[in-house]
Amino acid sequence: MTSGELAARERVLGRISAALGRERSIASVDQLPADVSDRISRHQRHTLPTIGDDLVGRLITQMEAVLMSVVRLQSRSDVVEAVRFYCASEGIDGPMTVSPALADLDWPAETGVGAASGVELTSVTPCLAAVAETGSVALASHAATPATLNFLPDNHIIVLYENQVVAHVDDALAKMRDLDPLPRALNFVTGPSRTGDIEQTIEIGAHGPRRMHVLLLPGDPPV
Amino acid sequence: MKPESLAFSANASRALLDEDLKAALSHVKTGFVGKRLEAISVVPEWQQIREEAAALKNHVLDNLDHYLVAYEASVQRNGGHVHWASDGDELARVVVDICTQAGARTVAKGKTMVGEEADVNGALEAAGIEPIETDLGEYIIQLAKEPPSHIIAPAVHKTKEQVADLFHEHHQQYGLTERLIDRGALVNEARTVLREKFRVADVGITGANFLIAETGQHVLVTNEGNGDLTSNLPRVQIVVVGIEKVVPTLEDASSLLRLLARSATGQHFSNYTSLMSGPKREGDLDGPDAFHVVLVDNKRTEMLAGDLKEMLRCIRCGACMNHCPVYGSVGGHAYGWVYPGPMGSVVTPAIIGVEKAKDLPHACTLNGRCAEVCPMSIPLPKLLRRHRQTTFERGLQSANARYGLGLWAWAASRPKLYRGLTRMSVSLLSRLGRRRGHFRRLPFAGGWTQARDLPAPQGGSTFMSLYAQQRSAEEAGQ
Repeated sequence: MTSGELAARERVLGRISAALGRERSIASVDQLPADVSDRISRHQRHTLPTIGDDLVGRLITQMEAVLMSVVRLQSRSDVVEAVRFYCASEGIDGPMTVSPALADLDWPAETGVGAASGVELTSVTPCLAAVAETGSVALASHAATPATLNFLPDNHIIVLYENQVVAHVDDALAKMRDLDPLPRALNFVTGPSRTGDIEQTIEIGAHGPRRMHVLLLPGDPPV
Repeated sequence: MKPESLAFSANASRALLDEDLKAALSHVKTGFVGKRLEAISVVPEWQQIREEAAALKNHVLDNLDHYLVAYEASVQRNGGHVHWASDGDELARVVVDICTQAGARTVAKGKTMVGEEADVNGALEAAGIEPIETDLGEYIIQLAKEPPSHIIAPAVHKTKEQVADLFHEHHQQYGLTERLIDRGALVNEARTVLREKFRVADVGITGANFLIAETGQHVLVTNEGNGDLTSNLPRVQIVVVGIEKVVPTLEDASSLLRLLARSATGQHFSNYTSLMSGPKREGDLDGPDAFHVVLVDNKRTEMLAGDLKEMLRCIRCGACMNHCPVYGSVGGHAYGWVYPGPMGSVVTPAIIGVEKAKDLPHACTLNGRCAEVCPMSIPLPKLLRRHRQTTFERGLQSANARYGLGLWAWAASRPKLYRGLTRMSVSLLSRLGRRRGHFRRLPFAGGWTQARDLPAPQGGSTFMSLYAQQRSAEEAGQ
């Protein structure tokens, strides 16, 4: 911060404490009142919408409602073939990039591995969780899961394991909280990119992917 | 932008005659209003979630400095920089400084209403830096050189023909010479043009929906994904945000998100809801090299100190304007500044000064629908009445309104005279209008009869005379 900005910080904090009838504001986080730091560390949940017990069933319903398609696979070794089949049936023919986290699979030789370069038509990524409440996938950025793959390609294919399905947004956030270091970005994506900015009529593919496809596998993701 | 709220009356009169605007605004009712109702009808816990959210925000406002200092420390822990700006000018200066130091020539912008308050685009242009709006609606109005007319649908006042004309005019330079009219084709054309802009942008600027003190993350909600491209591709990321947006924990943000999307667009969750903090981590293959947040006051502390404090609970969903009959008739531009509709009529006078926006608090029928649909239970009509009181106390109303009110108050505080006068005029009007049953024209009531007939009073009785009759009948019956 420049000296001008330091002055602005003092001014804003001073105005707040004056507005709240306090003599002065705290200067640093070490002086945080106990009730405030307790409130922050308690992680207390608010009322959550009831969503029933069939989390996977609810997830699929919610995803389909926001125009994501879901197929079930038997094992991780089916992923490459399922991707090939999906692209062929949708008429997608062009470069593909996969997350480094999926590099161990037996991809065709020309497949890119890494962040999005902007030329690929399709990306394949793992995810941190999927949320039954909303039909979202939660994608945490990391060296092995670059975030640009979630936004730049026209088609986004996500590998999801059943045990990654959580009930509420709060559960996915709790999984992120346990990551160390905190990822730079946690992206909840709930269906292909859309806009209603022309005459309030929904159009798909505003900036991000036009298609989202989920490959649902049993069990847990590999460590 | 320069406020033009003083011209509300003239703007509104002009807007009412604009057929394109009327056609465009009709989509608000069918789109937002119906979808919201559908979305909340499947959440029986809605009221409970709403009450908890208001209590949460009240708690935050009572500890605002503490949570901001906690958020600041968390951002710094993630390797980000936090800046403070006490008004719009300071915000614009901080943003221009960061961009200049980064050697930026082009800036990609996600939608930020705080940025609109400070006219950040104007400041960037003055510094020789090109800002490009990436939200489709914002992009459309940037081409049209207009301010937003809705906080979440900035180009809601445009028809697709008008968008087609704008694109046809501005996209020829990219070799796109055909005038497309189909909505999907227009969206596609904007996608193609903006992709290139994202590629060359040096800095990305977005707003934020919430700040999380616990983790130092901000939450950014979009449907297009433009906010994420803006945050992920350029090498420098700047977030500009009002100080009231901070919440303690991830769980608190989650609860407010449940209210936001449903109230705004009737979605259960917006397509892209992202939590971000700091520059790329060690080993990351993408993301910005530098991360800045600017915390903006711009009169929010004055609202905190005064009797508009409840307005700071606002999460900018736009439900109040979607349900406002005045907004639905005149559109957003008539309000003359960044924020239209009921929330705008409270916030605009608070930020630019009530004397520069004295008509806005009166642009309201006090029907109360805004308060009814507000997810944060903000008593908007009550806050509008506070502004009305201020305009009256400071003598800011027109002479006609003041004398008219004075005359009415003088008569109304003399019950016998008042009853006599109303009895007289009711019986006169009832006799005059007996044949037709209504009036097409009346002296001193042109404002009413210009657009509709005034029904003639029936039977010549007033409320008080009927009341007296009924009471004496009841007493006789006992």
